[in-house]
Parts: sequence; structure tokens; C-alpha cells
Amino acid sequence: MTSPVVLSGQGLTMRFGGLTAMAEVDFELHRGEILGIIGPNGAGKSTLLNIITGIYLPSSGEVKLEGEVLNGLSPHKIVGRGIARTFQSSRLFPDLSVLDNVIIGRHSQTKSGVFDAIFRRGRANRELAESAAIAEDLLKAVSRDLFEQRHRPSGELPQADRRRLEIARALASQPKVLLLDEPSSGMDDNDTDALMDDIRGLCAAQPDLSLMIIEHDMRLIAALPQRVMVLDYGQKLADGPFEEVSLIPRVQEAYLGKKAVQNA
Amino acid sequence: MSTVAKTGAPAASFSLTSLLIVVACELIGAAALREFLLVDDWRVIVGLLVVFAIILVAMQRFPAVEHRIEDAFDTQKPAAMVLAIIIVLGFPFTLEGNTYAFHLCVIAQLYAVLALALNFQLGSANIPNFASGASYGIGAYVSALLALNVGLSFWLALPAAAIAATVAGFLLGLPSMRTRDSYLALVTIAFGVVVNQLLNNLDFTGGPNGLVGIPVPELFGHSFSSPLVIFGVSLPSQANFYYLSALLVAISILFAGRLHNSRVGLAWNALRADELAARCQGINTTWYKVLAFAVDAFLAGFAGTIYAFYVGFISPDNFTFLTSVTIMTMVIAGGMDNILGVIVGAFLLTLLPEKLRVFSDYRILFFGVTVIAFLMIRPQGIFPQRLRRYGER
Repeated sequence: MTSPVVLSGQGLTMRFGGLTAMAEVDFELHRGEILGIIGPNGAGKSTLLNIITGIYLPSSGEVKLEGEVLNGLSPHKIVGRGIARTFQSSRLFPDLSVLDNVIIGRHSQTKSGVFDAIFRRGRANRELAESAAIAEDLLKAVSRDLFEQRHRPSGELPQADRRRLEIARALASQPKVLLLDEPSSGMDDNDTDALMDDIRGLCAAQPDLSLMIIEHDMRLIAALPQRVMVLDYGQKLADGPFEEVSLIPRVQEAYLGKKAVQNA
Repeated sequence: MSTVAKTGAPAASFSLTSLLIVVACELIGAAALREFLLVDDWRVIVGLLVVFAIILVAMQRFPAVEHRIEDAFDTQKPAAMVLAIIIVLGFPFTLEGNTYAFHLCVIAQLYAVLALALNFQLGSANIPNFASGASYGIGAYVSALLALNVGLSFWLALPAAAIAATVAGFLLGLPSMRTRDSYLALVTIAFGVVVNQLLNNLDFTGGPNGLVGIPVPELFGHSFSSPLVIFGVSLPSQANFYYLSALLVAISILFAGRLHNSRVGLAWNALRADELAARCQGINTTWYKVLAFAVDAFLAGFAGTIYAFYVGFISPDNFTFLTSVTIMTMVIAGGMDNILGVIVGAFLLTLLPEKLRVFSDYRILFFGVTVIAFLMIRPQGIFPQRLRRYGER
């Protein structure tokens, strides 16, 4: 991997009272790379995402985006720096239209405040119209079908479309790094295949975008990421191509069952 | 917006029908309000309420009708606005000089402003603020004190009071940010009670006796206590305040509409739906919450000033916890995050208890039953929140 490191973490540790959810985890994410993160429930995958996005402040260790330390920045500022995310259980704004959801995703890229909205309406409206146009393009790029439904409340969308919309909303902030938290959860095989195609299409359209994907679906993990990081009990167990990682007994135990390991 | 031009084209074929729908809706609405204001016979009052209920049932049953009316107003926006302005300006001439009807109109309009102000918080951002009565009171007291002690005119007291109320709103907003939901509601209730107790116990606010003798505003030598003569027609002195409060309602609608259809309104809506998700879209939720407090207090301060100068006498009893609850009910019953709904809610809840006086002892009971009935017919409020539209449908 020759491309430069975009996002990195050093010695990330997270303690909640007496419980250590994450201990001394290091990671690196290169430009244009897809990094898969796997591990059993409670291994610290979501904790890692919450640390990167500023929702948790790590007990020790540093997160750096292009060399700049992010620790202590609030989540809304971190979005502005170029890290966007989706959530495991999709967290859309259900009573707003599909289009509004994406426009809100552009919040960090826009500026109008109360004063502009009331007294400098031309300026505010121009910015909003521009955001709406960009949002429509994003929806078209993610899925034509979703674009056709842009005036529906997002709460009415089926599960697969919600996940797509969440990705479109995250992309609206023009991120350098996109974090996907179990994007295939609650999807059947067909939807997961469509999701994988979407992600491939996205990477082809934005070759500089780096992705971190937390997943349980081994099909997706085997196919998409160039590199897989395994977390277990808050520690990094392994880091490498899927073919190598999948040979580790603890990984096989967690994902294929103990019996399979003994028989192997 | 550039997209506006595109909406006109496909709808042009319906434009005459749409125009007729708009005109009919506005005229029928105004006529019904006039009838409701002037009538004394309880059978007519109940009859009007029943008709209103039937219309709501019909809208709930046949959403297509409601959509058609919404579309008509969307496509005929300028015409609808011009007609609305004409109706508001001409309305006093239809009231037959009935001072009580004028008084009700002024109070209802002030409540409409308060409800629109609270709607920024409760409707847009889902912040349960039980202190809007306190902001209203702060506006009223600050302007009255400035007028009585410093001799400041109404026109200067107005912005001064609004600024004072906004500062108070900020002061309330900042500590409230450490709490949320029910706990936030408790903090605002406490703030409202504290303000009320201060007004009741401080010397310079006149204690429970309040402030009396607030001077009547003047404009270009015309005293607001003298009858208003327009085109040879003499309207009672309340008409001065009718037009003043109508102007304030218009300004509030303008503020509300512009903020709703802006990045700020979207950010408020985002944090209403999911605060964590909103933060992860780059929205500084703390700032936007404090902002909602400030905008609410700003408009409430205006309403308080007009109230103080209109009535000429204010006491802590005008600005109690119950006032806040009433304003909140207006927003909820009228329709959260819907400008028209909130105004209708304010008028309905101001006028109902007054017009139901014919039921004497059963007045409050009847009032409660009516509000509950309307909410049962329209659980989302009389005019529920709508999706934003960006042209090219």
C-alpha cells in the first residue's frame, strides 16, 4: 500500500468506569482504501467508531486525520474536518423528506444563519438551492429509484433504501473518510449484493475516498475490503488481507463456530 | 429561488380553479371568524364549532381534498397573500364597532405571536419550553418600566424589551443545555416560576399590584387611545392595536416562514428527530437549541410590550405558569411546525373560553371537551406539519 495514511489511531484506550472497552488499539487507513473491521459482539467495533467521530473521548491515545489530532473536538466539528458516518440501526430523520435528509447532511458545508435566513434571503436561498441540487445529484448517484422518491418522508422507505439514503446523507458532507457501521444489518442476500454494488460504484466514482466498514456479513468482508482488522475484547487481534485473517483460529471460532475449528 | 419558476408551468392549467379555491377558503375563513366573534347566541356558537369539526373530519377522511387545497395555495401564493392582507386590513370594518370583538382580536393576535415564537422550540426543535409566559412577562415589564421610569416612548421600548427578553432567553437556554426532555421541561418551569416570584416580590416591579398607568403609544401625533378614522369610518380605539398586533403577526409569520425554509429550520428539524444523528451531520446542537430559546424570547418580548401598552396595567398574574401552558396547548392543538396551524390554534384557544361564557359554570369543562374533540379528530393538530417543497414536483 503506497498511498498516504489519511486516518490513524495510536494507543486508543477507552474505559467506562472499571470496564475497559478498548485497550491500546492502533490502526491506519490509507487514501482510497477499504478497511473492514470484524469481531464478535462487544469486541469494541462501535466504540472505535464512536471514538473516531468524537462521540466518546478516549481515555488515552490519539486519533489523527491527515496528521491533525482530532481528540477533544466535538462530533459536529469532526464532520466538518471530513469524517462522515452511518449508524448500525439507521438513524434518519424520519419525518423529513428524503431530499431534506441529504440537504441536512450538507450542514457542515454551508453557512447561512438566522440573520441570512431573515434579512439576506437571496443569499440563503441560493445556498439552499445549491445544496438541493447537490443533494439530488448525490441521490441520483446512489440510486435512481431513491431519487424518484426524494419527496417522500424518509420514514416510509424500505430498509435497503434507508441504508442507501444514510450513505447519501453521509456523502453530502464531502468526507475524506466514510465510516459504515454494519451497513448490511437487517438486509437479505439480495439487498446485501445491491449494497456491495453500491459501495463498489461509490469507490469507482470517488477513488480518493477511504472507507471503514464494520460488518458481520462474511460475504461482504471477503469481497470488499483490501484489509481486515479483527477486534476481540477491545484489543486488536489481527490486521491483514481477509485470506490471512480468516485462517486465525479465534476468527474461525467467532464466525464459523468452535466445531468447525476442531474439524479443520 | 430559481426552482420557483418551474412550479408555475405545470400547474398553470388549474390556475383558475386554484385561485377560486384560495379565494373561497380565505373568505369563508374570515366570514366564519367574524360570525364567531360577533355572535351571542349559544346555538350559533355550537353550530359553528360543529361545522368546523365536520370540516376537519372531512379533511381527515379525504386527504385528497386537503392536498388539493394545499396545492391551490402553493401555486397561487402571491394571490393568496394579497387577498389575506386585504382581508386583515378590511376586517375591522366588518366588526360593527364592537369593542369586545376588537379586544378579542388583539389578544388572539398577541397569542398567535407567542405561539409562533414557541413553535420555533416546541414545533421545530422539540424543546419543551414552559417559560414562554416568562419571556412574555419580561418583555411587558421591561417596556413598562422603561416607559414609566425613563419616559421612553413605546417605539423605543419595543426593541429594548425584545432585546432584554432575548438576553433572558439566552440566560435560560445556556444552563438548560445540560439537561434534555423532561428534565429540560422542569428547568424551564422553574425559570417561569422564578420570574413570576421575582415580579411578585420585587419593589420596583410593583409587587402583586403590578404596574399601572402605562402611557398610551402615539404615532405621528395620533394617540392610540383615540378612535381611528379611516376613509370617514370611525373605528374604536382598539383598532389601533388591532393593526399594530396584526403587523407583529405578519412579521412573526415572515420570520417563521423564512427560518423554517432555511438551513436553520432544517437543523432544528434534524435535532427534533434525532439529536445524535444531527450532531453527526455537523450540526452544533447546543448552539441551535440556545438559538431557539433566543428567537422565542425575542418575539415573546415584542408581544409582551404591545400587551403592556394596550392594557395599560400589568401584574404578575398575567404571566404565570398557566400562561405558558396555554401557549403550549395552542401550538400542540393547532399543529406543530405549521405556521397556519399554530395561528388557528392561538385564535381558537383565545376565543373559545370567551365565547363559551354563555355556558357560565360549565365554561371550562366545555372548553376542555372541545379541545380534546378536535385533537381526537386531528391527532397531529388541526393543520399538521408538512414536508418542505423544492419546486419541480
